Amino acid sequence: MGHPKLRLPKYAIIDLTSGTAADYPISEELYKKYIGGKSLGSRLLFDLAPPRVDPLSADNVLIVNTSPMTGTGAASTSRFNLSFKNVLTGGIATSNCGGTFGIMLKAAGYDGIILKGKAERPSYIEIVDGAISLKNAEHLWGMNTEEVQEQFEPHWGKLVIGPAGENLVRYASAVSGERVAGRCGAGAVMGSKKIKAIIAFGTKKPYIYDKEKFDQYNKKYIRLLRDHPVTGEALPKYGSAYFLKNTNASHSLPTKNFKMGKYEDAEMITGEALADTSLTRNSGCVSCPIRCERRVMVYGKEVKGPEYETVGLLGANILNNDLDLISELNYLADIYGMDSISLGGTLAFAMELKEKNLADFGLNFGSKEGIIETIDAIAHGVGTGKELGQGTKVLAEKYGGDDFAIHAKGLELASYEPRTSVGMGLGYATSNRGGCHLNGGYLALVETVMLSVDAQTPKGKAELTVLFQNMIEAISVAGYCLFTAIAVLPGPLLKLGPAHPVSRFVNKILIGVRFILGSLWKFMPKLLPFNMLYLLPHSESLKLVTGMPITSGKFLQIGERCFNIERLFNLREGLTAEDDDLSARLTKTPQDLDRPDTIVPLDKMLPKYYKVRGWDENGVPKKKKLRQLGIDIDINI
Amino acid sequence: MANIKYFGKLRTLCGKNEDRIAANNLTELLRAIQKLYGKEAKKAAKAALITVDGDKILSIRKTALSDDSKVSFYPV
Repeated sequence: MGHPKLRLPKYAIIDLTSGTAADYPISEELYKKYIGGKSLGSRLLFDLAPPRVDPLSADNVLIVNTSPMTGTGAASTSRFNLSFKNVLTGGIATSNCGGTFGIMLKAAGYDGIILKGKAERPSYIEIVDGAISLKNAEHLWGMNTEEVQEQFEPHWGKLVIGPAGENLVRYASAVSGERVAGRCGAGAVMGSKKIKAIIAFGTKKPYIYDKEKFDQYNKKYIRLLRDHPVTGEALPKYGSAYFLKNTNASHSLPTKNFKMGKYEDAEMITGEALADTSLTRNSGCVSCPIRCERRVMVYGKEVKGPEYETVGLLGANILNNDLDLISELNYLADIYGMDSISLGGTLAFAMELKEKNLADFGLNFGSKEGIIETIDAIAHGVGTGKELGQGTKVLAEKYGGDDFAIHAKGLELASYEPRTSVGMGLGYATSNRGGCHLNGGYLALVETVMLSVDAQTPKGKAELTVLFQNMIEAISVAGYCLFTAIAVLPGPLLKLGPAHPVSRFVNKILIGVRFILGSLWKFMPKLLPFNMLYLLPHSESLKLVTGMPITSGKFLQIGERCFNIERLFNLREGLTAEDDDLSARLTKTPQDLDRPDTIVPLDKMLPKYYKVRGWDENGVPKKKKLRQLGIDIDINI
Repeated sequence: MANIKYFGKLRTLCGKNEDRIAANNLTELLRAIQKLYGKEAKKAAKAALITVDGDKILSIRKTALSDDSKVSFYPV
């Protein structure tokens, strides 16, 4: 017998080839295990996408879904997710966005939609109060993401692509308002299905199991975020680009295509510099008290400013110290609809190809010449842009330079140089969606950005990476912005500063407790049968919204299950342990030639990582682990 | 004379963005900051992310400064 008040999510499946839509029931068992967002999305993708499908073929499946927290008004929960086969890696793709589309999709009566097939002509999907229709979008085709959104009612939720998605740029993004589902090529998948936009509107209120307690808890949680030195002070004041001086000071800021980790002009592009020079005001996603969004002037109008990743990769990584130009490039990436991380990585790689006389795309490190024209060419699939739109891995296959092609599984790395943050390096290599800091566990947070855990030692990094990967997965599955994970790090500790003896002691302890951390996962739900506001606030919120008996232990297990289902998808699609790798520049060439330890020692960390995960030596989840997580898949690898 | 840059709270407490202070090491510099701007300023400086010539400092006591050192105090 089911839970008396359990409300199952409502999904629709839309066949774009036939132009029909139908409800797609989610069973109670599936919901309880996978909850929503990227976890449920990955499981549905596993079940619905044919094995080894071409990501840009009609047979690829695109799932756009929400989480239980989406739209509830809880702090930092406007998030929604896109799951699909990754255009850049051929493995799993999940991409998260803070625009209003998810809130409106729920208000329109659906927790998720599944797109399959391909429309016969450019189309858009309209979802209004439970009614789904496929409409002609020929008049919208060719518009940028800003223009196309202006064609619809301002208060409707919109998810659109720009020219980059239409032209199948492999790192094309999907955009909602000014927020971006950037990574893995979601825009190209929409473009390949001839879907220019999905719009949603409705008046349905989101389900909250215990509204009174939920509202009380949310107030406490907002207070916690506002009192925290990072989510309450630094991020609102300086935006995420405030990380930049930390990474630069730790030699972990990608510079000149990850050749170096310290940029001599870093002070010109920090969050602090942006606040001093270009910032008009701060802003944020719906229901988010953090308000890390920057507003800057570009082409005479106020637009969203660049975030840390963009400043790093379109700044230091291409030796560009011009903050105004970075804002302009960020704006262009957004309106053309492409991921600024992969774009920055690809441009830097093209510049190094030129430097090494392997190919000439007319781009040079430290030179502004040709960058704007190149981005335009990439988005429109013309000239040299056509090749650059394929991403770093494909370029390296054609022109060489594999040893300095900075990607993992085909996805360009985020803005953390891993040779001086080796836990982040392990995270990049094992991240299911490729070179992603978030899916990779984001150990840069504790190695360079917030804390200063010994960033060179491989000791304890497998254990910490697994803990952080599972935690971040769970937070994302619930529907929270991942910046709320920062508030998990105790504010009073951060306020002491990195040089304080207590901070240095804590940094040592985190490595010291690795043996305990490594064995936690076998007992997780029993180990933490309660919720803790100050340690992991998300689990209590999820309990109050869903009515499910969720504890911190079960919450972390939800994250672990999600990570494993993603891994299983990758294995089924042909990715292996050999793909848990990084370029030779990062694993074999020390960043500092006088310090041989400034490499990512993957060979030392990976075996331990697989062991902690409960995977075999080939990185395949053992049957025992899958049983423990209740994953009923036998893929016979 | 080390070249100093203040950010965040410290900027307000010191009432300026930049400074030049004579100090042989970070301990001396923090002492000078206390003398010039008060105890609160020293406390904020100690709790800041301190960089010397762009590198993160994890041990105040062991850090020597030269005449052209660039020291920045950022909020963590």
